[in-house]
Amino acid sequence: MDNQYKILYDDGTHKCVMFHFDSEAHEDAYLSVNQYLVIQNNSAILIDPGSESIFDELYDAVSEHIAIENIKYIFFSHQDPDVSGSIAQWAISTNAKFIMSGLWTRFMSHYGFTQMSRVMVLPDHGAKLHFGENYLKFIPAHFLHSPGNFSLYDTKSKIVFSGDIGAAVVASPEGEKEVKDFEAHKEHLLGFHKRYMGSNKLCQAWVSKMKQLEISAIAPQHGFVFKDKNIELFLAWLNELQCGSDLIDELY
Amino acid sequence: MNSIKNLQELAKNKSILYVEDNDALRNNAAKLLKKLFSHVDTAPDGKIALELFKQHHYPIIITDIKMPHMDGITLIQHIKHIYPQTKSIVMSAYDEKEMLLKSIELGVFRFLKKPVNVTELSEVLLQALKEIRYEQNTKLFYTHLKSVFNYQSSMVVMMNDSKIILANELFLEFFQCDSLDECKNSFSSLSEVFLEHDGFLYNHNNQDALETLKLNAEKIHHVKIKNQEGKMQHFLLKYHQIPEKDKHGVLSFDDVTELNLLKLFDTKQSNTDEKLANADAMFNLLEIIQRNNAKIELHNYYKGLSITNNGVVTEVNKGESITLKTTYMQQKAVQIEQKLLLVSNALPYPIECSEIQNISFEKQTITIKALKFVSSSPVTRSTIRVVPSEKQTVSLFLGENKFYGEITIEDISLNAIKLQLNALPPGLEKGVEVRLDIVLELNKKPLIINTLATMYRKSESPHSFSVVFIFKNLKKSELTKYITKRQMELIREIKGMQNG
Repeated sequence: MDNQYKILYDDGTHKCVMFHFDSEAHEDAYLSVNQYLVIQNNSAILIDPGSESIFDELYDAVSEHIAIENIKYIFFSHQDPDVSGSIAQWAISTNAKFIMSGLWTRFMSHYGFTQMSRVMVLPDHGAKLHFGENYLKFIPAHFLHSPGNFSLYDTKSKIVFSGDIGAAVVASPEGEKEVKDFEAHKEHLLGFHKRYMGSNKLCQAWVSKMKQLEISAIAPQHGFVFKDKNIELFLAWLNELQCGSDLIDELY
Repeated sequence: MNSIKNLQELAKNKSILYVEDNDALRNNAAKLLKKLFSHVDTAPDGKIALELFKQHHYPIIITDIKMPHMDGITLIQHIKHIYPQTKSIVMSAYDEKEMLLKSIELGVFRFLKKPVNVTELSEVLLQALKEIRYEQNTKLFYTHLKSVFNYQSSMVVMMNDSKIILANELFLEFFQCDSLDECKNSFSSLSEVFLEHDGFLYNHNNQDALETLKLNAEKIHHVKIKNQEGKMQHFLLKYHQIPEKDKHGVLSFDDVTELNLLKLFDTKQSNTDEKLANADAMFNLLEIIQRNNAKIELHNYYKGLSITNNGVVTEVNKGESITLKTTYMQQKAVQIEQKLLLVSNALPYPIECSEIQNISFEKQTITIKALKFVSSSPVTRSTIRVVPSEKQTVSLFLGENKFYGEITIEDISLNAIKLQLNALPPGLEKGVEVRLDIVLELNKKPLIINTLATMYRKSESPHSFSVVFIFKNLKKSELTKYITKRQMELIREIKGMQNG
């Protein structure tokens, strides 16, 4: 359990925790998977809780920070198994509402989820949700990479939970959780983003949304967290990135 | 060439005023414009132009700046007061900064430098005509929309984010406002007018009513609003999101004050039995849910596994039955359980239906009878109970004495266990502490739970007793795993039944 969680923010009433379970073998590198928990007083939202195989470990790890019954919402940035695979388990063990894009609700039964009326469907333009004294903002991130995809902005900690945006295929899942040298980190970002992200236009749309926010960190579902000057560097990089349909000739 | 055709098409029913003090230029321009516009007037100075404008509100004027009696800028200033929609195109031989700035301030449509060539002028006229067409279409759309809104028998508003952008007459009448702007004096955000009431939608610490509405589009919510005479009115509210326009939505208010349902939702009002027996209110609410085409939750339980999907009410036979449209999975769950629970924000209690009249897989419908409000149901349970697999043994100890009768587990949750006993051991009463040694199977290995528990409740049937025990100081992690795994087994079981 060493190093399997890291506190990203804590002011006594509001806390953001990063967990770190599961590593997917990905060609010759590892794609480490991050899960996040945002707590305010006695309420919590769990973000991208991951696959069925890590449910038990994550359940125990979350219980260290808050009683499971106090998880009010579980947010799935998109439909992938490393994000939503454990939805049935969480449905069973919590009374939480499930927040996701309307594109994916009916697919959730393939993960064994049978309680569709517990789903809060996000409209394409996103939504704002009261969370304690603050807000959670669900920001559109469609086609980055999933067609129905959202990032989550916590107005208190000012952290953007960005899902697959900013994900890095990077070895050494233990130890460091934060990007130190952006220039060096770029090579871990490039392959994944080039192939998985929809297009430069979509990246720009998301970056322009980010520019409207005051951001303390960008926390992706794989790899490392961006802080301080690396936020700006990452956004500038993404804004210029040629990816997906921009490189159509390489694919067809 | 296309743009010329386009220009002719757009200009053919429009009038235009051309103002220029140079006679030759004015006459040439008039000749050209007459080929396009159905009505062309010209004027040699601003003063004459203004007189003409007062008689015909031209959609487009083209004017020089420097002219005797009244200059072009002063003319536009007057026009803006008379008919602000007019598109003014200014021509000048001078590119004086001051004039340019003034033109911008006045919202001049375009500025053309003299001498003006035909291509440039045509281009600008085409842009102006396109803009006019767009404005007319928008106006027409809003006029139609407004009449559709006013035709509604309930209050209807259109929202952009949290702002009202269109309201029908009934809404304005309710708040005694002549216009939307006036309404802003009564409230700054619509959700402010929703008053606190049990089970109703209103702003409070953890909830912004408008956000809740948006995240629960197509569902019905109750709201209480005080009218201008100070009387409480009860409305059912539904938010319909406009497709492809996420920030826009229509809110409709269905006035149900006359049904006198406020008491039904008030938890302080005693006599729950009377409220539960109120079948008229139940069918009235179901009818409103149907009328609004609002979503309602359908709940079923398979050995404790909860299966819920949304559905809509397609038919209400007052006092008798209702028909719902829902998913295949829910239909199968209803078929297996032979009953159904209905839950909605619009209902004060869940409705239990214990008789299934018909399930049509073709029409995706379920018709149910014997409906009644129930005060407690599995829906309100905070813990999940499952029926364990047959591989189980339980030993019950009362002090040092082991119970030797037959025991089976009816269901188990994180907090409690319900056992079926073929006889009741002496001394087993409410509050008595017992020891339970339970063996279940988890991942094909035995899961042993040894715990103290307190007898909570018992009920008797012809051949057995059901007894509920509450666990004392039980370490929950293993049991959590068990319940989760067992539910997954049940999911597979029911999915297998569905495919079969």
